[in-house]
Amino acid sequence: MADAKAAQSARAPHPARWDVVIVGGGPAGLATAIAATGQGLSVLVLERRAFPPDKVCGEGVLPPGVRALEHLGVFPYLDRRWTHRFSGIRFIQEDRSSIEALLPGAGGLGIRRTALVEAMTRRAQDLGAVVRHQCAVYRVVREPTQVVVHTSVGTVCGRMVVAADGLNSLLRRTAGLEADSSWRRRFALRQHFRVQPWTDLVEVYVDRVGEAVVTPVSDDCVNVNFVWEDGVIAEPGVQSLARRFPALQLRLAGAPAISSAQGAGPMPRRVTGRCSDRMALVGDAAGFVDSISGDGLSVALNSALLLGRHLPAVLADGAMRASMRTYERAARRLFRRYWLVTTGLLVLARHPRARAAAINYLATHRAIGAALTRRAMQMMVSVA
Amino acid sequence: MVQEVCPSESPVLRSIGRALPEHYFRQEVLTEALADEWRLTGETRAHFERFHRAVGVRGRHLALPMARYRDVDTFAKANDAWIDAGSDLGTLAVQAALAEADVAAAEVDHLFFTTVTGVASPGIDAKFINRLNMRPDIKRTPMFGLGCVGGAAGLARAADYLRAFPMHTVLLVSVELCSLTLQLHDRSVANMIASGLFADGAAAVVLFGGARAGGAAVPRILASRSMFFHDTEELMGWQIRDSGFQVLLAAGVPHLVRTRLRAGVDAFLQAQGLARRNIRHWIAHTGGPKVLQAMESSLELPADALARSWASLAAIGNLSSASVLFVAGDLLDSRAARPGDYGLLLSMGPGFCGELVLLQW
Repeated sequence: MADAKAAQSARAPHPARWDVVIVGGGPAGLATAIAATGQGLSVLVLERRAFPPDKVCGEGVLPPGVRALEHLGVFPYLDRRWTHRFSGIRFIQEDRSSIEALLPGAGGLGIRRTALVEAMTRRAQDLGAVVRHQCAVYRVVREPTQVVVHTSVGTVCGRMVVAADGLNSLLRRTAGLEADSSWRRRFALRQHFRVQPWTDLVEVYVDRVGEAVVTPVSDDCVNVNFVWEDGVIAEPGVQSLARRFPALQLRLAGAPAISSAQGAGPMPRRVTGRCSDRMALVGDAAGFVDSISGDGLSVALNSALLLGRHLPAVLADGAMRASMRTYERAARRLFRRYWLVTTGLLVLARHPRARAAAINYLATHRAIGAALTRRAMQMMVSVA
Repeated sequence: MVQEVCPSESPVLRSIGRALPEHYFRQEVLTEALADEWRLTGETRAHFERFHRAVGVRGRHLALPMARYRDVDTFAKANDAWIDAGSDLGTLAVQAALAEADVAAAEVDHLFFTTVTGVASPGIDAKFINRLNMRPDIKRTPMFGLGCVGGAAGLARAADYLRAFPMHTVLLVSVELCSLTLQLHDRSVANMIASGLFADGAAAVVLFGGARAGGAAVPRILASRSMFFHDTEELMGWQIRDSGFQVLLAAGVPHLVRTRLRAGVDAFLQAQGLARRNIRHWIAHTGGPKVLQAMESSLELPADALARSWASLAAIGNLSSASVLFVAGDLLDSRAARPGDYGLLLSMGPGFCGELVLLQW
């Protein structure tokens, strides 16, 4: 509890009414906090988990996300021991045939989720945001002139609330912004292993049921994320999932697990809109397609930047739904491109014959592969 | 009696949904409104205000807007309001718990329901089943009268059931609208304290049987123990009057906690091969400052062992059976527990009695 108390006592006195109350202290919530405090707004972040909150996450940040983190000034705070550069992504099929998509520029960055959140929290606090941990939000009441947020440690008021409470967002549901999804549900299970990364690529092992994604996050640790379709695997566990990918199992043989296996899902999640009166959704709460493209963090960080930029105008304009139209439009555009790339990959991964044909073709036509990767990166809009 | 426990077969506490009514009032506002209602002046008013400050509550959520409480002046009206508001609030809590656990309403095999603040037949559990379209073969166990111990006892009974049906999914719902039991004609000290301490809320818990949960799920409910203290019926409870539930709250409760709880806890833990020092997470019902202090001193707990209970008491007041589930939910949300950690969830209530539930992550 010491962390929570320390965070609470920082920078008293607190305003009776915050400009923005952000529910969720993950990358999306903290990026919004950093962007908003940078614009002179008073910001309170509420996180239900203990510090630093860990969560199932691919932990690979693609170039648009890296640019967003640079823009937010997070890198000076980052513990570099928990980062690892990667130059591209390698897709590996059942027959071990593979294709590599190299990223432009300096490539992507694997960052252990806890290190990322620690750095972003300190950056947000240095800018004047107050971040409370172990603070569960029970109810958000949106009144005509303010929002009242009732939590496990008391009640706070704000001019508006930002829902950054993740894939399974409670605020999205209670605000009636959740849409049904007819897609097949997919789940993820993540664990870290102590082993020296054997490549400077993110590896994606694919089979017809799902995939295993390996992201290096330090010089001696890799993140392994298993993703599978609901109902296909009888007893999903790290052991049973790893057995599906013998090449990966070989790599991990003897490597000790250094985090407990954590599950997440289901994916995807759709929204009917990202804004409501005195409320905006951001990050995974604002919709999530699938982890297969590895750009969840990039989308979250960039849409948070976008929201942070719009917040002063939104608040000046009354913070009602109508005042958020420009954010809604911009966020939708950003999301639609991500949707296209992700859905394309997902459809391909699910159809082994088409996938094999595509990968074999691209393996022999590398220029086209490189062009496609470049194009995909361009489509993932960066607002930084 | 030593129980044989196999952790992987133990039921799992999967998620806890919580819901509070939208009408929130700071404690000073409620204190003043009640003092005015009772036309308290001078010394009496000062006493009353002191009672309300001493309970350590900063604000509370009430089922109705304040002005409507004067209209609920009979048992029938209060109970009707309880059915309406309770059904809505309970449904919200159930939806939150099912969503967090990613469980469909149709997967629930058994619905346990606990309350002490209103009566209905069929119980309002029938409303949840209809509104959320739960299965027609759902089993129901409504429980009335357990009072503050209902949350802990409900978990324990749900876990007992899941040991017999390890593939099943259980929902435990607690709805407590204490504000609707307030007797405006009763100027007893007990009622003055109760009017400052109790509040409204609902909690719902999804539990999986050990086989349904799979190997990695936590926390497991390893064991539980009920404690009944003979000849203490007068300590706490309702006197049911034409006007409704009149509160009975004796000053002896903290004393009983101080003198009797420790032996029960130690005996229970010993039967599990544990001692108090093995418990990393204490999940205590927010009975009130004196009860929490009595627990801290008699169990010799570290200074911040009950921090979540204190914070919950201050933020939302005592929600009777739902309180311990709110505190447990806060702990689950915090993900502060590490694999292997033990937790002891405990609550006491009318009987006088207590319930201990041992958890392991």
